[in-house]
Amino acid sequence: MEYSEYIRGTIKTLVLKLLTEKEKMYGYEISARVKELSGEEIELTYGALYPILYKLEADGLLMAESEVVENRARKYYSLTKKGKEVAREKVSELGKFIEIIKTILQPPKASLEIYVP
Amino acid sequence: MTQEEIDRVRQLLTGMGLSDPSLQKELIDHVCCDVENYMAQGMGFEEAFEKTKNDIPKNQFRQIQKETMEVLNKKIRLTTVFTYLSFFMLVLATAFKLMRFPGAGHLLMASFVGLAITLLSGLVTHPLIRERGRGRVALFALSVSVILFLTSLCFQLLHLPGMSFLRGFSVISSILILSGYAVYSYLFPVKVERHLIMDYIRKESQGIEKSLIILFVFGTSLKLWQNDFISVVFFMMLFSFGSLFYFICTWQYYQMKHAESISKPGALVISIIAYAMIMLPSMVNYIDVPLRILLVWGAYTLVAATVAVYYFRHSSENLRVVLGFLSLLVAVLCGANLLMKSVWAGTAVGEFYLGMVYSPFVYVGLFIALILFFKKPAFRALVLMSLAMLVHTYHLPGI
Repeated sequence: MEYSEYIRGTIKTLVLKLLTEKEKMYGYEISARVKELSGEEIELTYGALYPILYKLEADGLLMAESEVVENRARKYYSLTKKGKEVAREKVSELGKFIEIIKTILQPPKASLEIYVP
Repeated sequence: MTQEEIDRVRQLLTGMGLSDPSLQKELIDHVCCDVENYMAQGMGFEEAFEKTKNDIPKNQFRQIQKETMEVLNKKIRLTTVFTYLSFFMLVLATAFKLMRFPGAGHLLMASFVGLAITLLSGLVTHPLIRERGRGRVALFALSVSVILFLTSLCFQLLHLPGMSFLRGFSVISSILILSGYAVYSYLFPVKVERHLIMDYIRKESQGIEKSLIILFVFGTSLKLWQNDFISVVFFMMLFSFGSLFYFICTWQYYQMKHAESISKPGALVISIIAYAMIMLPSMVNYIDVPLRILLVWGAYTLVAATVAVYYFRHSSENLRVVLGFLSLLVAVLCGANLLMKSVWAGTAVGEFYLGMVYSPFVYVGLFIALILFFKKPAFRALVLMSLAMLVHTYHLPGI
Protein backbone atom coordinates (compact mmCIF):
# COMPACT_ATOMS: atom_id res chain seq x y z
CA MET A 1 0.00 0.00 0.00
CA GLU A 2 1.23 3.54 -0.77
CA TYR A 3 1.57 5.54 2.43
CA SER A 4 3.91 8.29 1.28
CA GLU A 5 1.27 11.05 1.24
CA TYR A 6 0.33 10.23 4.87
CA ILE A 7 3.86 9.71 6.15
CA ARG A 8 5.28 13.04 4.89
CA GLY A 9 4.02 15.12 7.81
CA THR A 10 4.96 12.60 10.46
CA ILE A 11 8.62 11.79 9.64
CA LYS A 12 9.91 14.49 11.96
CA THR A 13 7.99 13.04 14.90
CA LEU A 14 8.97 9.46 13.99
CA VAL A 15 12.67 10.38 13.93
CA LEU A 16 12.40 12.21 17.27
CA LYS A 17 10.50 9.29 18.79
CA LEU A 18 13.06 6.69 17.64
CA LEU A 19 15.86 8.79 19.09
CA THR A 20 14.14 8.91 22.49
CA GLU A 21 14.43 5.12 22.53
CA LYS A 22 18.06 4.88 21.48
CA GLU A 23 20.78 7.32 22.43
CA LYS A 24 22.22 7.74 18.94
CA MET A 25 21.30 6.45 15.48
CA TYR A 26 22.57 6.91 11.93
CA GLY A 27 20.48 7.52 8.80
CA TYR A 28 20.30 3.95 7.52
CA GLU A 29 19.56 2.66 11.02
CA ILE A 30 16.60 5.07 11.36
CA SER A 31 15.08 4.02 8.04
CA ALA A 32 15.69 0.31 8.80
CA ARG A 33 14.03 0.68 12.21
CA VAL A 34 10.96 2.38 10.72
CA LYS A 35 10.72 -0.44 8.18
CA GLU A 36 11.03 -3.07 10.89
CA LEU A 37 8.53 -1.48 13.30
CA SER A 38 5.98 -0.95 10.52
CA GLY A 39 6.16 -4.60 9.48
CA GLU A 40 7.94 -3.53 6.27
CA GLU A 41 4.92 -1.41 5.28
CA ILE A 42 6.68 1.95 5.55
CA GLU A 43 9.99 2.66 3.88
CA LEU A 44 11.66 6.03 4.32
CA THR A 45 13.44 7.03 1.11
CA TYR A 46 16.72 8.97 1.17
CA GLY A 47 14.80 11.98 -0.15
CA ALA A 48 12.28 11.86 2.67
CA LEU A 49 14.74 11.29 5.50
CA TYR A 50 17.85 13.42 4.99
CA PRO A 51 16.37 16.90 4.47
CA ILE A 52 14.40 16.30 7.70
CA LEU A 53 17.53 15.20 9.60
CA TYR A 54 19.39 18.31 8.44
CA LYS A 55 16.47 20.53 9.36
CA LEU A 56 16.22 19.02 12.84
CA GLU A 57 19.96 19.53 13.28
CA ALA A 58 19.78 23.14 12.02
CA ASP A 59 16.90 23.79 14.44
CA GLY A 60 19.05 22.58 17.32
CA LEU A 61 16.86 19.54 18.05
CA LEU A 62 19.49 17.02 16.98
CA MET A 63 23.23 17.01 17.31
CA ALA A 64 25.47 14.97 15.08
CA GLU A 65 28.87 13.38 15.38
CA SER A 66 30.88 11.38 12.88
CA GLU A 67 32.73 8.16 13.45
CA VAL A 68 34.79 6.15 11.05
CA VAL A 69 33.15 2.73 10.75
CA GLU A 70 34.33 0.09 8.27
CA ASN A 71 36.45 2.55 6.25
CA ARG A 72 33.71 5.14 5.88
CA ALA A 73 32.39 8.07 7.87
CA ARG A 74 29.15 7.41 9.72
CA LYS A 75 27.12 10.30 11.08
CA TYR A 76 25.27 9.57 14.31
CA TYR A 77 22.37 11.71 15.46
CA SER A 78 21.22 12.19 19.02
CA LEU A 79 18.66 14.43 20.71
CA THR A 80 19.69 17.71 22.28
CA LYS A 81 18.04 18.88 25.49
CA LYS A 82 15.63 20.98 23.43
CA GLY A 83 15.11 17.99 21.10
CA LYS A 84 14.04 15.78 24.02
CA GLU A 85 11.39 18.30 25.07
CA VAL A 86 10.12 18.76 21.51
CA ALA A 87 10.06 14.96 21.02
CA ARG A 88 7.74 14.56 24.02
CA GLU A 89 5.41 17.30 22.75
CA LYS A 90 5.35 16.06 19.16
CA VAL A 91 4.71 12.42 20.08
CA SER A 92 1.86 13.46 22.36
CA GLU A 93 0.41 15.78 19.68
CA LEU A 94 0.61 13.09 17.00
CA GLY A 95 -1.05 10.57 19.34
CA LYS A 96 -3.96 12.97 19.92
CA PHE A 97 -4.17 13.73 16.20
CA ILE A 98 -4.35 10.02 15.36
CA GLU A 99 -7.17 9.58 17.87
CA ILE A 100 -9.10 12.45 16.25
CA ILE A 101 -8.58 10.98 12.78
CA LYS A 102 -9.74 7.58 14.05
CA THR A 103 -12.91 9.18 15.40
CA ILE A 104 -13.57 10.88 12.10
CA LEU A 105 -12.99 7.69 10.16
CA GLN A 106 -15.25 5.55 12.35
CA PRO A 107 -18.62 4.72 10.79
CA PRO A 108 -21.38 6.83 12.41
CA LYS A 109 -22.97 5.02 15.36
CA ALA A 110 -26.64 4.37 15.14
CA SER A 111 -28.24 7.01 17.30
CA LEU A 112 -31.20 6.27 19.47
CA GLU A 113 -32.44 9.76 18.83
CA ILE A 114 -33.74 8.84 15.40
CA TYR A 115 -36.19 6.45 17.01
CA VAL A 116 -37.62 9.16 19.19
CA PRO A 117 -40.96 10.01 17.73
CA MET B 1 33.15 -3.56 1.84
CA THR B 2 36.62 -2.82 0.54
CA GLN B 3 37.97 0.71 -0.01
CA GLU B 4 37.66 0.23 -3.80
CA GLU B 5 34.01 -0.78 -3.43
CA ILE B 6 33.32 2.25 -1.25
CA ASP B 7 35.02 4.40 -3.90
CA ARG B 8 32.63 2.92 -6.51
CA VAL B 9 29.71 4.11 -4.39
CA ARG B 10 31.34 7.56 -4.02
CA GLN B 11 31.76 7.80 -7.80
CA LEU B 12 28.12 6.78 -8.29
CA LEU B 13 26.88 9.54 -6.00
CA THR B 14 29.19 12.14 -7.53
CA GLY B 15 27.94 11.09 -10.98
CA MET B 16 24.37 11.57 -9.75
CA GLY B 17 25.15 15.20 -8.90
CA LEU B 18 25.72 14.92 -5.15
CA SER B 19 28.56 17.35 -4.49
CA ASP B 20 28.02 18.63 -0.93
CA PRO B 21 30.84 16.93 1.06
CA SER B 22 28.90 16.46 4.29
CA LEU B 23 25.77 15.06 2.63
CA GLN B 24 27.88 12.93 0.31
CA LYS B 25 29.76 11.28 3.19
CA GLU B 26 26.49 10.49 4.93
CA LEU B 27 24.79 9.08 1.85
CA ILE B 28 27.85 7.01 0.93
CA ASP B 29 27.37 5.26 4.27
CA HIS B 30 23.64 4.82 3.66
CA VAL B 31 24.08 3.42 0.13
CA CYS B 32 26.93 1.15 1.36
CA CYS B 33 24.55 -0.19 4.05
CA ASP B 34 21.96 -0.87 1.31
CA VAL B 35 24.58 -2.71 -0.77
CA GLU B 36 25.72 -4.70 2.30
CA ASN B 37 22.10 -5.58 3.00
CA TYR B 38 21.78 -7.19 -0.45
CA MET B 39 25.19 -8.86 -0.03
CA ALA B 40 23.96 -10.37 3.26
CA GLN B 41 21.17 -11.97 1.23
CA GLY B 42 23.82 -13.83 -0.79
CA MET B 43 24.51 -11.46 -3.70
CA GLY B 44 28.01 -10.57 -4.87
CA PHE B 45 29.15 -6.93 -4.72
CA GLU B 46 28.49 -6.22 -8.41
CA GLU B 47 24.95 -7.57 -8.32
CA ALA B 48 24.17 -5.83 -5.02
CA PHE B 49 25.65 -2.56 -6.33
CA GLU B 50 23.59 -2.70 -9.53
CA LYS B 51 20.42 -3.55 -7.63
CA THR B 52 20.93 -0.65 -5.19
CA LYS B 53 21.69 1.67 -8.11
CA ASN B 54 18.44 0.65 -9.85
CA ASP B 55 16.47 1.23 -6.62
CA ILE B 56 17.51 4.91 -6.57
CA PRO B 57 14.97 7.08 -8.40
CA LYS B 58 16.30 9.43 -11.08
CA ASN B 59 17.56 12.80 -9.77
CA GLN B 60 16.93 11.65 -6.18
CA PHE B 61 20.28 12.85 -4.82
CA ARG B 62 20.21 16.13 -6.70
CA GLN B 63 16.77 16.75 -5.19
CA ILE B 64 17.91 15.83 -1.65
CA GLN B 65 20.87 18.18 -1.98
CA LYS B 66 18.62 21.01 -3.20
CA GLU B 67 16.09 20.46 -0.41
CA THR B 68 18.78 20.17 2.26
CA MET B 69 20.49 23.36 1.14
CA GLU B 70 17.13 25.17 1.12
CA VAL B 71 16.49 23.97 4.67
CA LEU B 72 19.90 25.15 5.87
CA ASN B 73 19.74 28.48 4.06
CA LYS B 74 16.32 29.29 5.49
CA LYS B 75 17.77 29.26 8.96
CA ILE B 76 18.88 32.83 9.57
CA ARG B 77 21.21 32.87 12.54
CA LEU B 78 22.55 35.80 14.49
CA THR B 79 25.99 34.84 13.21
CA THR B 80 24.80 35.11 9.60
CA VAL B 81 23.34 38.58 10.22
CA PHE B 82 26.64 39.82 11.68
CA THR B 83 28.63 38.22 8.86
CA TYR B 84 26.56 40.05 6.22
CA LEU B 85 26.73 43.27 8.22
CA SER B 86 30.53 43.04 8.49
CA PHE B 87 30.94 42.39 4.79
CA PHE B 88 28.53 45.19 3.93
CA MET B 89 30.72 47.58 5.93
CA LEU B 90 33.80 46.13 4.27
CA VAL B 91 32.31 46.88 0.82
CA LEU B 92 31.28 50.34 1.96
CA ALA B 93 34.75 51.06 3.37
CA THR B 94 36.33 50.02 0.05
CA ALA B 95 33.89 52.17 -1.92
CA PHE B 96 34.52 55.16 0.38
CA LYS B 97 38.26 54.73 0.01
CA LEU B 98 38.06 54.48 -3.77
CA MET B 99 35.81 57.56 -4.00
CA ARG B 100 38.09 59.36 -1.51
CA PHE B 101 35.18 60.00 0.87
CA PRO B 102 36.06 60.54 4.54
CA GLY B 103 35.30 57.84 7.10
CA ALA B 104 36.62 54.79 5.22
CA GLY B 105 38.97 53.92 8.07
CA HIS B 106 36.16 54.01 10.63
CA LEU B 107 33.95 51.83 8.47
CA LEU B 108 36.76 49.34 8.11
CA MET B 109 37.20 49.23 11.86
CA ALA B 110 33.47 48.80 12.31
CA SER B 111 33.63 45.79 9.99
CA PHE B 112 36.45 44.31 12.12
CA VAL B 113 34.35 44.80 15.23
CA GLY B 114 31.46 43.14 13.36
CA LEU B 115 33.69 40.18 12.52
CA ALA B 116 34.76 39.88 16.16
CA ILE B 117 31.10 39.92 17.25
CA THR B 118 30.35 37.30 14.58
CA LEU B 119 32.94 35.02 16.14
CA LEU B 120 31.68 35.64 19.66
CA SER B 121 28.00 35.25 18.75
CA GLY B 122 28.86 32.05 16.86
CA LEU B 123 30.53 30.72 20.00
CA VAL B 124 27.61 31.67 22.22
CA THR B 125 24.69 30.71 19.99
CA HIS B 126 25.96 27.54 18.30
CA PRO B 127 23.79 24.71 19.69
CA LEU B 128 26.64 22.22 19.49
CA ILE B 129 28.87 24.38 21.68
CA ARG B 130 26.17 24.64 24.31
CA GLU B 131 25.35 20.95 24.18
CA ARG B 132 28.73 19.36 23.87
CA GLY B 133 32.18 20.39 24.88
CA ARG B 134 34.55 18.46 22.64
CA GLY B 135 37.37 20.80 21.75
CA ARG B 136 35.50 23.74 23.26
CA VAL B 137 38.52 25.14 25.13
CA ALA B 138 40.72 25.10 22.03
CA LEU B 139 38.00 26.77 19.97
CA PHE B 140 37.62 29.53 22.57
CA ALA B 141 41.39 30.04 22.80
CA LEU B 142 41.67 30.25 19.03
CA SER B 143 38.78 32.70 18.78
CA VAL B 144 40.38 34.95 21.40
CA SER B 145 43.60 34.91 19.41
CA VAL B 146 41.72 35.85 16.19
CA ILE B 147 39.83 38.64 17.99
CA LEU B 148 43.15 40.00 19.31
CA PHE B 149 44.50 39.93 15.76
CA LEU B 150 41.50 41.96 14.52
CA THR B 151 41.97 44.39 17.43
CA SER B 152 45.62 44.81 16.49
CA LEU B 153 44.54 45.72 12.93
CA CYS B 154 42.23 48.42 14.39
CA PHE B 155 45.11 49.70 16.54
CA GLN B 156 47.33 49.77 13.44
CA LEU B 157 44.76 51.82 11.51
CA LEU B 158 44.38 54.25 14.40
CA HIS B 159 48.14 54.37 15.08
CA LEU B 160 47.47 53.48 18.72
CA PRO B 161 50.24 52.30 21.03
CA GLY B 162 50.17 48.62 22.00
CA MET B 163 49.62 47.38 18.45
CA SER B 164 52.94 45.47 18.42
CA PHE B 165 52.15 43.71 21.67
CA LEU B 166 48.64 42.75 20.57
CA ARG B 167 49.86 41.51 17.20
CA GLY B 168 52.78 39.61 18.73
CA PHE B 169 50.58 38.00 21.36
CA SER B 170 47.88 36.97 18.86
CA VAL B 171 50.37 35.60 16.32
CA ILE B 172 52.46 33.64 18.83
CA SER B 173 49.38 32.30 20.62
CA SER B 174 47.75 31.19 17.36
CA ILE B 175 50.97 29.42 16.30
CA LEU B 176 51.25 27.64 19.66
CA ILE B 177 47.57 26.68 19.88
CA LEU B 178 47.33 25.45 16.30
CA SER B 179 50.65 23.58 16.35
CA GLY B 180 49.65 21.76 19.53
CA TYR B 181 46.21 21.06 18.12
CA ALA B 182 47.73 19.78 14.86
CA VAL B 183 49.95 17.31 16.75
CA TYR B 184 46.95 16.20 18.83
CA SER B 185 44.91 15.81 15.66
CA TYR B 186 47.70 13.71 14.11
CA LEU B 187 47.88 11.46 17.19
CA PHE B 188 44.11 11.16 17.76
CA PRO B 189 42.47 11.71 14.36
CA VAL B 190 39.20 9.93 15.27
CA LYS B 191 38.71 12.04 18.40
CA VAL B 192 39.46 15.32 16.63
CA GLU B 193 37.08 14.46 13.78
CA ARG B 194 34.28 14.93 16.33
CA HIS B 195 35.67 18.20 17.69
CA LEU B 196 33.69 21.39 17.28
CA ILE B 197 36.37 23.02 15.16
CA MET B 198 36.26 20.22 12.55
CA ASP B 199 32.47 20.36 12.56
CA TYR B 200 32.69 24.09 11.94
CA ILE B 201 35.21 23.67 9.11
CA ARG B 202 33.09 20.97 7.45
CA LYS B 203 29.94 23.07 7.59
CA GLU B 204 31.31 26.52 6.89
CA SER B 205 34.21 25.82 4.52
CA GLN B 206 32.37 27.10 1.44
CA GLY B 207 31.44 30.33 3.22
CA ILE B 208 34.98 30.81 4.53
CA GLU B 209 36.49 30.35 1.07
CA LYS B 210 33.96 32.78 -0.40
CA SER B 211 35.04 35.34 2.23
CA LEU B 212 38.70 34.78 1.31
CA ILE B 213 37.89 35.38 -2.37
CA ILE B 214 36.01 38.58 -1.45
CA LEU B 215 39.06 39.78 0.55
CA PHE B 216 41.25 38.97 -2.46
CA VAL B 217 38.99 40.91 -4.85
CA PHE B 218 38.82 43.97 -2.54
CA GLY B 219 42.54 43.91 -1.77
CA THR B 220 43.40 43.61 -5.47
CA SER B 221 40.97 46.40 -6.48
CA LEU B 222 42.45 48.79 -3.91
CA LYS B 223 45.99 47.85 -4.85
CA LEU B 224 45.37 48.31 -8.58
CA TRP B 225 43.37 51.50 -8.21
CA GLN B 226 45.20 53.50 -5.60
CA ASN B 227 47.92 51.27 -4.12
CA ASP B 228 46.44 52.31 -0.81
CA PHE B 229 47.52 51.19 2.64
CA ILE B 230 44.07 49.71 3.25
CA SER B 231 44.80 47.06 0.62
CA VAL B 232 47.54 45.85 3.00
CA VAL B 233 44.92 45.34 5.72
CA PHE B 234 42.75 43.28 3.34
CA PHE B 235 45.69 41.14 2.31
CA MET B 236 46.82 40.67 5.92
CA MET B 237 43.36 39.39 6.79
CA LEU B 238 43.40 37.11 3.75
CA PHE B 239 46.84 35.65 4.57
CA SER B 240 46.21 35.17 8.28
CA PHE B 241 42.66 33.76 8.08
CA GLY B 242 43.42 31.83 4.88
CA SER B 243 46.51 30.14 6.31
CA LEU B 244 44.65 29.39 9.57
CA PHE B 245 41.73 27.87 7.64
CA TYR B 246 43.84 25.82 5.24
CA PHE B 247 46.08 24.66 8.09
CA ILE B 248 43.06 23.24 9.92
CA CYS B 249 41.78 21.72 6.65
CA THR B 250 44.97 19.63 6.40
CA TRP B 251 43.98 17.82 9.60
CA GLN B 252 41.26 16.04 7.65
CA TYR B 253 44.09 14.22 5.90
CA TYR B 254 45.08 12.47 9.15
CA GLN B 255 41.53 11.12 9.38
CA MET B 256 41.78 9.36 6.00
CA LYS B 257 42.56 5.74 6.66
CA HIS B 258 43.60 4.95 3.10
CA ALA B 259 46.14 7.80 2.95
CA GLU B 260 49.71 6.54 3.04
CA SER B 261 50.91 6.60 6.61
CA ILE B 262 54.37 7.85 5.61
CA SER B 263 52.91 11.06 4.13
CA LYS B 264 51.08 12.02 7.33
CA PRO B 265 54.04 12.99 9.57
CA GLY B 266 55.48 14.88 6.59
CA ALA B 267 52.23 16.82 6.19
CA LEU B 268 52.19 17.57 9.93
CA VAL B 269 55.75 18.92 10.12
CA ILE B 270 55.50 20.94 6.90
CA SER B 271 52.11 22.46 7.78
CA ILE B 272 53.30 23.57 11.23
CA ILE B 273 56.51 25.11 9.84
CA ALA B 274 54.69 26.79 6.94
CA TYR B 275 51.99 28.25 9.20
CA ALA B 276 54.57 29.71 11.58
CA MET B 277 56.60 31.10 8.64
CA ILE B 278 53.54 32.77 7.12
CA MET B 279 52.25 34.24 10.39
CA LEU B 280 55.49 35.50 11.96
CA PRO B 281 56.12 38.31 9.40
CA SER B 282 52.80 39.94 10.36
CA MET B 283 54.62 40.95 13.57
CA VAL B 284 55.79 43.94 11.56
CA ASN B 285 57.77 45.62 14.34
CA TYR B 286 59.75 42.50 15.24
CA ILE B 287 60.49 40.83 11.91
CA ASP B 288 62.30 42.83 9.28
CA VAL B 289 64.06 42.29 5.94
CA PRO B 290 65.76 39.94 5.03
CA LEU B 291 64.14 37.55 7.53
CA ARG B 292 60.65 38.58 6.41
CA ILE B 293 61.45 37.71 2.78
CA LEU B 294 62.96 34.40 3.81
CA LEU B 295 59.93 33.47 5.94
CA VAL B 296 57.19 34.51 3.50
CA TRP B 297 58.66 33.22 0.24
CA GLY B 298 60.21 30.21 1.95
CA ALA B 299 56.78 29.23 3.29
CA TYR B 300 55.11 29.61 -0.11
CA THR B 301 57.85 27.61 -1.84
CA LEU B 302 57.57 24.87 0.78
CA VAL B 303 53.78 24.67 0.54
CA ALA B 304 53.75 24.72 -3.28
CA ALA B 305 56.41 21.99 -3.42
CA THR B 306 54.39 19.90 -0.93
CA VAL B 307 51.20 20.30 -2.97
CA ALA B 308 53.16 19.25 -6.08
CA VAL B 309 54.45 16.12 -4.29
CA TYR B 310 50.91 15.39 -3.07
CA TYR B 311 49.54 15.46 -6.64
CA PHE B 312 52.43 13.49 -8.13
CA ARG B 313 52.63 10.78 -5.47
CA HIS B 314 49.53 10.54 -3.29
CA SER B 315 46.52 11.89 -5.18
CA SER B 316 44.07 9.74 -7.13
CA GLU B 317 42.92 12.67 -9.32
CA ASN B 318 42.68 12.08 -13.08
CA LEU B 319 44.55 15.33 -13.72
CA ARG B 320 47.10 14.77 -10.99
CA VAL B 321 50.11 15.10 -13.32
CA VAL B 322 48.87 18.44 -14.71
CA LEU B 323 48.05 19.73 -11.23
CA GLY B 324 51.40 18.49 -9.90
CA PHE B 325 53.25 20.21 -12.72
CA LEU B 326 51.37 23.50 -12.23
CA SER B 327 51.99 23.38 -8.46
CA LEU B 328 55.66 22.82 -9.19
CA LEU B 329 55.63 25.94 -11.40
CA VAL B 330 54.16 27.92 -8.49
CA ALA B 331 56.95 26.53 -6.27
CA VAL B 332 59.54 27.68 -8.83
CA LEU B 333 57.96 31.16 -9.01
CA CYS B 334 58.00 31.55 -5.23
CA GLY B 335 61.47 30.02 -4.92
CA ALA B 336 62.77 32.41 -7.59
CA ASN B 337 61.26 35.31 -5.68
CA LEU B 338 63.01 34.16 -2.52
CA LEU B 339 66.40 33.96 -4.23
CA MET B 340 66.08 37.18 -6.25
CA LYS B 341 64.96 39.23 -3.26
CA SER B 342 67.55 37.87 -0.87
CA VAL B 343 70.67 36.43 -2.54
CA TRP B 344 70.59 38.45 -5.77
CA ALA B 345 68.81 41.51 -4.44
CA GLY B 346 69.65 44.69 -6.35
CA THR B 347 71.67 42.90 -9.05
CA ALA B 348 70.84 43.03 -12.76
CA VAL B 349 70.07 39.30 -12.73
CA GLY B 350 67.73 39.77 -9.78
CA GLU B 351 65.87 42.64 -11.44
CA PHE B 352 65.51 40.70 -14.69
CA TYR B 353 64.01 37.64 -13.02
CA LEU B 354 61.78 39.68 -10.75
CA GLY B 355 60.47 41.43 -13.88
CA MET B 356 59.53 37.99 -15.19
CA VAL B 357 57.92 36.83 -11.92
CA TYR B 358 55.81 39.99 -11.64
CA SER B 359 54.84 40.05 -15.32
CA PRO B 360 51.19 40.23 -16.46
CA PHE B 361 51.78 36.82 -18.05
CA VAL B 362 52.22 35.23 -14.60
CA TYR B 363 49.17 36.96 -13.09
CA VAL B 364 46.91 36.05 -16.00
CA GLY B 365 48.30 32.49 -16.10
CA LEU B 366 47.67 31.94 -12.40
CA PHE B 367 44.20 33.45 -12.65
CA ILE B 368 43.29 31.15 -15.56
CA ALA B 369 44.68 28.14 -13.64
CA LEU B 370 42.57 29.15 -10.64
CA ILE B 371 39.40 29.32 -12.74
CA LEU B 372 40.15 26.10 -14.67
CA PHE B 373 40.94 23.99 -11.60
CA PHE B 374 38.68 25.70 -9.11
CA LYS B 375 37.14 22.39 -8.09
CA LYS B 376 40.49 20.96 -6.89
CA PRO B 377 40.75 22.05 -3.22
CA ALA B 378 44.52 21.81 -2.61
CA PHE B 379 45.39 23.50 -5.90
CA ARG B 380 42.71 26.18 -5.43
CA ALA B 381 44.08 27.03 -1.97
CA LEU B 382 47.66 27.20 -3.26
CA VAL B 383 46.90 29.39 -6.29
CA LEU B 384 44.53 31.73 -4.42
CA MET B 385 47.07 32.38 -1.68
CA SER B 386 50.12 32.71 -3.94
CA LEU B 387 48.28 34.91 -6.47
CA ALA B 388 47.20 37.16 -3.57
CA MET B 389 50.79 37.30 -2.28
CA LEU B 390 52.11 38.21 -5.75
CA VAL B 391 49.50 41.00 -6.08
CA HIS B 392 50.20 42.23 -2.55
CA THR B 393 53.99 42.33 -3.00
CA TYR B 394 53.90 43.98 -6.44
CA HIS B 395 56.08 47.10 -6.12
CA LEU B 396 56.07 46.69 -2.33
CA PRO B 397 59.53 47.13 -0.85
CA GLY B 398 60.74 44.79 1.87
CA ILE B 399 58.71 41.73 0.94
